[in-house]
Amino acid sequence: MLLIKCPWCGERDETEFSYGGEAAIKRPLKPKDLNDKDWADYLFMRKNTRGLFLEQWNHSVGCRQWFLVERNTVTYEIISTKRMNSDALNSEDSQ
Amino acid sequence: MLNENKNYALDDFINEEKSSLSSSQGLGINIRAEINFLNIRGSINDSDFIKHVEAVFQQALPLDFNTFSVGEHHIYWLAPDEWLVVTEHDLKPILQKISPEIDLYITNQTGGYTQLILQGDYARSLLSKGCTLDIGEKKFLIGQCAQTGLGKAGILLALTDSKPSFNIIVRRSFAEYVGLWLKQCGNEFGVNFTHKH
Amino acid sequence: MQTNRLNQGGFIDRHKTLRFTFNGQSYFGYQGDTLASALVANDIKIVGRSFKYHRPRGIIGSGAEEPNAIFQIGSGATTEAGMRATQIELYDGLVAKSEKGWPSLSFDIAIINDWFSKLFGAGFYYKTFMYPAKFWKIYEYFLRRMAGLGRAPKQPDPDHYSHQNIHCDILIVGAGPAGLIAGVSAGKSGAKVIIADDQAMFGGSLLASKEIIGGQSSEEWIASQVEILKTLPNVTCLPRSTVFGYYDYNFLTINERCTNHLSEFTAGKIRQKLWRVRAKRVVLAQGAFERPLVFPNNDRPGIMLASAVSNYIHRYGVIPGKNAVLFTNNDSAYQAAIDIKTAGAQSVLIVDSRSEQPSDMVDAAKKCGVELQFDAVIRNVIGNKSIKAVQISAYDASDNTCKDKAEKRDCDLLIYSGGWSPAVHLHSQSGGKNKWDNERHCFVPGKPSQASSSIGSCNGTWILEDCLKEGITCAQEMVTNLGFKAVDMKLPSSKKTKINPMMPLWQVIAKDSSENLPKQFVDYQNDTTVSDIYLAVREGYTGIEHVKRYTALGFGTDQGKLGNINGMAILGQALKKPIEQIGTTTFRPAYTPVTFGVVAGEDIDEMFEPTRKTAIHDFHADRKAPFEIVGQWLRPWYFPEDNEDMLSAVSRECIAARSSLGIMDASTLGKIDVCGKDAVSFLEKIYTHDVAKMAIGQCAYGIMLGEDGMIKDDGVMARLGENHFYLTTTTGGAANVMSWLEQWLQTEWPHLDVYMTSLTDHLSTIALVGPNSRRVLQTLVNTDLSAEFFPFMRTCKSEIAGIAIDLYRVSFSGELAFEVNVNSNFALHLWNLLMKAGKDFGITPYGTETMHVLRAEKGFIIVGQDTDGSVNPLDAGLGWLISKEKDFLGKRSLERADSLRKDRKQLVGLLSVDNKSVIPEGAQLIEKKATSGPTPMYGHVSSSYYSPILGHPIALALVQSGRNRYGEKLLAVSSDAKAIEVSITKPIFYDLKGEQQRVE
Repeated sequence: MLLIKCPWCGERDETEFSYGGEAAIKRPLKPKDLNDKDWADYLFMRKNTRGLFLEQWNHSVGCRQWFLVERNTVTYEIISTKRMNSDALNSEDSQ
Repeated sequence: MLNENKNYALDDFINEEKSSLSSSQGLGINIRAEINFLNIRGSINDSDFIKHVEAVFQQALPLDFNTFSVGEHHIYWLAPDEWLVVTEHDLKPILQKISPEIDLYITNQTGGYTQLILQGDYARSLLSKGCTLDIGEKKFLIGQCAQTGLGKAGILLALTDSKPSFNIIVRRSFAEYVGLWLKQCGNEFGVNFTHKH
Repeated sequence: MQTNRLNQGGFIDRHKTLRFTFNGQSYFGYQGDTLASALVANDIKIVGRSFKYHRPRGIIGSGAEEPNAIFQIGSGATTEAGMRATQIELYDGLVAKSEKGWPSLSFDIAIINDWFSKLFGAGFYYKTFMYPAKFWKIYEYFLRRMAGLGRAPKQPDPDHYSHQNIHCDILIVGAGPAGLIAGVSAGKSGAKVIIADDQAMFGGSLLASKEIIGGQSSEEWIASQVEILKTLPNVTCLPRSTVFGYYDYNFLTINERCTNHLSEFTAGKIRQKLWRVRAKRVVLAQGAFERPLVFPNNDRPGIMLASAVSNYIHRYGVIPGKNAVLFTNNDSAYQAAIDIKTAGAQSVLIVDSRSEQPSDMVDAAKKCGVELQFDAVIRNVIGNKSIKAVQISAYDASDNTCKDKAEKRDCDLLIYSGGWSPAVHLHSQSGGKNKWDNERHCFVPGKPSQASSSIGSCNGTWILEDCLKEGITCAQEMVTNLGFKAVDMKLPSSKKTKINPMMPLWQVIAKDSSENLPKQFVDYQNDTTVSDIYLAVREGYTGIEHVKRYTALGFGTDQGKLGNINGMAILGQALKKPIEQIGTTTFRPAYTPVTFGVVAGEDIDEMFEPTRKTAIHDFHADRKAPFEIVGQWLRPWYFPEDNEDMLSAVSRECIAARSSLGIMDASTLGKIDVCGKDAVSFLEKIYTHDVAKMAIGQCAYGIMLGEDGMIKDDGVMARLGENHFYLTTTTGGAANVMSWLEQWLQTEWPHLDVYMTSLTDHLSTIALVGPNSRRVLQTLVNTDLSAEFFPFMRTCKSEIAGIAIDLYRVSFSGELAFEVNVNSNFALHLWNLLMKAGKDFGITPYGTETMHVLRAEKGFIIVGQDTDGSVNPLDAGLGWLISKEKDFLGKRSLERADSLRKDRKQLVGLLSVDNKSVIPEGAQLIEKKATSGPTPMYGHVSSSYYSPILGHPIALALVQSGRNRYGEKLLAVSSDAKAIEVSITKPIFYDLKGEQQRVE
């Protein structure tokens, strides 16, 4: 059972959160300009990283905020949690 | 007689509990029926918003996460852009003071919440049965609040004094479940219900 | 007769006699006994039959490791299965039954399995009961009966169970010498400490020893430490509490047995408690398990672990035999020989596989009259139902075999010890690896993967003084690390014993092949033998996880506490690999079995799931409406009058709504207030229709799509102001939609100035439906409700009897209808006012069933019923809702090749050709001519009702290329009704032009 540090509410039990999958998947600004394959990539393809993974979680029972979690998918160790719009997301964005 | 701000969500529940009202021991639950709830939204980066809220409510807006301010009302922090005002005052005069010029968004939630007050030596133990948050004496202080889970319902929990007294604010449709939960789990500690008008 | 009871000693009260029954026979024990110690005291040899071969078995151990004495305790509703006698505290009136043995323990018919055991090797069941496949049910019935698993009660459990969350600085698992002193050391520093032990008394191994610690007897020392712990307010002591699970982030679960030791049922008391602990640090001090030795017939009743013998003597004043042979490869077992000889055994012989070397233990044994034989092993056991003698052979350490020549020694007890295995279970559960130690010949905990430390014998530390030292050091490091000031602790003095190293002896191998010898058991609970492991290797299984599954090694409720290490070592021998290359199997919770009751805790019956009630619920309940659960909400299904059945009630309600006036509680709809400067641009992305074009006060039916283009949710939404909207969602989708909207807002468009607040609980919604709805409502409000001022799909604010309301002229029935939103505190009052006002028009409350019939007559979909996550708006005939101009979530997906397929399933209507049969929902639609065998399935029925206003059944269905098949006939088939011939129509049955809801 994870102990997740909500960037606002502090450490809370995993049961207070819901999982939002891989973070930093940018919605294309002009979806209609994408061909079927590129759109399908955006829609369906997700990394299945073994090791460090940037994902989004929602403190659904608490402050309802979505935030970023850097987690090791092997050990379940949470390396850091960050608010959206923080540097971590921006650096992902620029990739 | 219909009270404008009376919340009837737990009425039936209370009636069943009448028999135990008289003998309050180490643990008691009060149900606050006649209070109003307002939800406030706005940006903390907007100083006009903060000033205006404080002018309207005559009370500081708690900007620290998971805290609440006490004055004429209780104002609870809910989220970085969201607060809950719990008040015994009439809403009309308050709402009239709100300026349309300010980016302050308010919704009346009076029919949507019920407040219980859990008080007594065993309050922490009882809450810990269904709440995973660390509410130990050194961890959860007077003036702190937290939205968390109690059993299978979401609650807003706040510590108001050292008795200790906990305010439990719960969505109306979950109030009966929370009441039942406190009653069943409180058996262990001899819980008693009272109705506070 | 407690023939094996000693006159003195033990932590039992000889003045408190307790009566109990075992397999129907009455016996006596004392307060302080376990069921096992009482059985040993009464000289009960056979306590069970083995799993596969049904061989008689006796008590081997004295704790969690016991594989044989597994009983059904009690009867009726409070009976419990799979209980280890060694961990059951005796109480007066205890009823125990062995779980195996049919018809009786002494004569078990299935013993023939043992005689024909050549047929029953590993994998026997896999190979034998495979064919014919349909016979499995019959095989299973007999196999289960033969296997003799415990029985669960059929009645509900009358006991109460409790859950408790707790946070602490340090959780100490095990209150043996290391755990106790760690507890005192940490407790004195002021840290919040929990110390849990699965036994009734703290003390662990010290309870069965006569050590002197710091000048005190072990008994006195334990008492003094417990006394200190009890006076510290920051320390919680949990006896009878098994830490059974170690999960991520130092989350551990403890099963405390509060009243199991008092009686089978204690009314009004909590029987067991589940502690859910979040600890900053964890100290693992659970001790170690003594290993059995593997030799022919090593499972005969009367064979017992050395530590168990000492336990029975010192803790319970019970001597398990009079003439004992002790078979060992290590020094620690000598203590049991000394203990039993001192307690009054007539003869005790130690058979030691090692050569003689001077040691303190050898001296002590000799001194009290124990005979010794070195370089020798037990090569066979004589006696079936109880041990009569053993065969002793010389042992040749050079080639690890024993000589054929054997000498017989009579005995009634064979004590054995193959060394010790640290209880690394929790360390492993926490994610820590174990490493093989070639000096101590055991797995010891490797580097912890969480904030924990193993100390004492659970860390492979055998010497008492070292255990105590580890306890103090570990506690001091942890408290310092947590910011407390460590308290100075003096290491109490204890006896230093010189000990000779143990000899690894995994299996007694005779010169002749091991296969021809009698069975040598590795895992008692699963009857796994040495030859099973060799067979598994011959059949190609080489990984320990595979061998485990093929032979069932370690699969029992004891999880291989006794057998696993021997099994791994023997597998190593078979594969000619060192044990460290074999590795261990995965340790999983629970460490020992836990009851379902304590896992469920208080979350049972009405507390199993919250049921949400609307503010108008009392009215529905008074009218005796049956309720339907929708997304935790209790919704009235229909309102029966007199003795009406459902069909009559629903027909009456439908006709009333279509011909005059119906009223429905729609409060469970999800309601969301949306405001902020960017509310329009946000909602433009969410809804498929043109939100920006909506006038203030206008309502719209809106659908939301997932980014995959499939319908996610639907509902009426309204523009209340320039930047202010009100959205409704489906009842079941409310929470999900809200969090989904927040996700898009916060993660994709955080720059948008939008605030969403749920109004679901604050507002109640009452729908007034039917041709007379306007007339009746107009009597209560000042607002002009005429079509001119308040046309279809408009909203306005109004007031009824001083109560503020929001009015919506919207319709989910196709009739002229209004929805009234009101503060829930007034909802019941308002409902009653409306009921009164509509009385002259026969106002009829209706429930969800009538709502469904009315909407299906109009072809209005229910998201989640007529759609299933694979239906896009074009499939559902909602193409008219899609804006051509703007982008919105899911739009691009509607142009994917798959979305443009001509043979997609589309929403259609169905009529039964006989005009009578109501088609079952879920029925598959197939070709009319289809007779049997695989046939294409064109779709399924999603909604189906009898329409009272039309006088015939109607249905909605999703059918391949449905809109091109109007008029076509298909067959609707389902498992619970005969095939019904249906014809495909447009998905609308009533008021085809939609005039009624727009009526002027």
